[in-house]
Amino acid sequence: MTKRLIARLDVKGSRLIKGVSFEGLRVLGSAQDFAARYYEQNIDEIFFVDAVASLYGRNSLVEILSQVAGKVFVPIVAGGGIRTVEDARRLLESGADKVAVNTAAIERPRLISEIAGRFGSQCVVLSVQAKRVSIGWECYTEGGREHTGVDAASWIKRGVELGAGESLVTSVYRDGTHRGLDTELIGAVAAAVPVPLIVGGGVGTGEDVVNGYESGTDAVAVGSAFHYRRLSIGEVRRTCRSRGISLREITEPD
Amino acid sequence: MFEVTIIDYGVGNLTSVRNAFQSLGVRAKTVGNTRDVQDPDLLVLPGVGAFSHCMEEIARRGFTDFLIDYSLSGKPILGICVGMQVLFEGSSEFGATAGLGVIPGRISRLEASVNQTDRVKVPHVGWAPLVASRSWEQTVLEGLDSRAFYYFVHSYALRSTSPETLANVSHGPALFGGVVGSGMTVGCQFHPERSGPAGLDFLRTIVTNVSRGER
Repeated sequence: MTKRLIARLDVKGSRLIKGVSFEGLRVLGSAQDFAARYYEQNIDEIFFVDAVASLYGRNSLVEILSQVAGKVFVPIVAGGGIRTVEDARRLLESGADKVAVNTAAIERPRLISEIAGRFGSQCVVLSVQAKRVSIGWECYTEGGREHTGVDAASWIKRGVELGAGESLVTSVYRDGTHRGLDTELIGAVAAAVPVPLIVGGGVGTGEDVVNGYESGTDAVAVGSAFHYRRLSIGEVRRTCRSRGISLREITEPD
Repeated sequence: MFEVTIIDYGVGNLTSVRNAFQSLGVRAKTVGNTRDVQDPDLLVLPGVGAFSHCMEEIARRGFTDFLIDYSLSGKPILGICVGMQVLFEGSSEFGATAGLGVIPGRISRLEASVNQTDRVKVPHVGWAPLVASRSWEQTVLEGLDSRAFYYFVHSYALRSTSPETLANVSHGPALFGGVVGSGMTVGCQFHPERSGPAGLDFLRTIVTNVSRGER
């Protein structure tokens, strides 16, 4: 099965932002420009997260989605602050193919089945921000600030039963650090996730992405390493090819 | 100018399908009832989510018989994802649901499996190439780059072989129908509007071959 490479764009208003462990957020530029550039460089999928939506109680991705609609022809996931079926509908109608839920789903798990029931499981990505705790991996919300007491692997299992079609697991500690994906976290959740698993947080090199795939994830999400141009999409593809991992082949139409 | 009409029956991401056609320089509009289908060069039936929900919404908006007659009259239709699946006789999703039945065959659930090197998951989400099941010459796929990868997201598929299958796709040890074509009725299980330049090239190929067929 071909692995996927995803660009993760954390957004505030119309701007791309990035921090380390979800803190110290810096503005990097126009989110739509970054998205268009990643599309041109053959990214497989784009994952937008409104980083402040949960805080403000509304998601402002609608405008960005409309702006990229005529330029980006790969799947787009939109997340951040989605609390109702109506929130999901607005984003899907604006051009998102899937929505990612986190905080509101932990508070009210039925949100997952409500969105899946209306738009299908293929639309719902369960996003989990995980931190290592003494007994395993715990889910956090609000950009890794609020702990929930919920175990990551069991929560994803439950989320899939409720209708989630994919899961994105991000290591809070590794986020933005370029220290590599947390392969222990991948090991802890991969076996528990019967649906496609996306892992993010910490990619700095092409080898990091390879390690993620070899640890059992189906897709890797890369944020700051792409944003700061420490790593290019082409370089990840080359590294994967040299290590025998198959990604989508890019062919030039005749 | 080539005109595409996209059926809006409340299911699926019509915006991205319309944008994809428009990026090819094709005129594309969406319609919510049969009266507004005014002899387009290509009628597009999108679809995501549950087969039964799609069929219910097609019926509720009065499109069921219209689509059957449209296909039987030999006018060009492209079904995308669940829009392709509903062209078949039925699906086993949530029990059994009847489809439009304009192409013989039934839709059934993909199977998850584990082997030594890979875990084959359902839903099938990701990029895959087509495997031609017969020559594409003189079909709607004539001239298509046979190496290209397309984006799939689905749990159900045409898992039986059909004489209408133009290309299959591997899912672990199994194959399913990737592109089917019966006369001018065509379906693709992947999302060309979400498959990057290769997907746009697929749509361009369909548009080119449909225009040629009509000349």
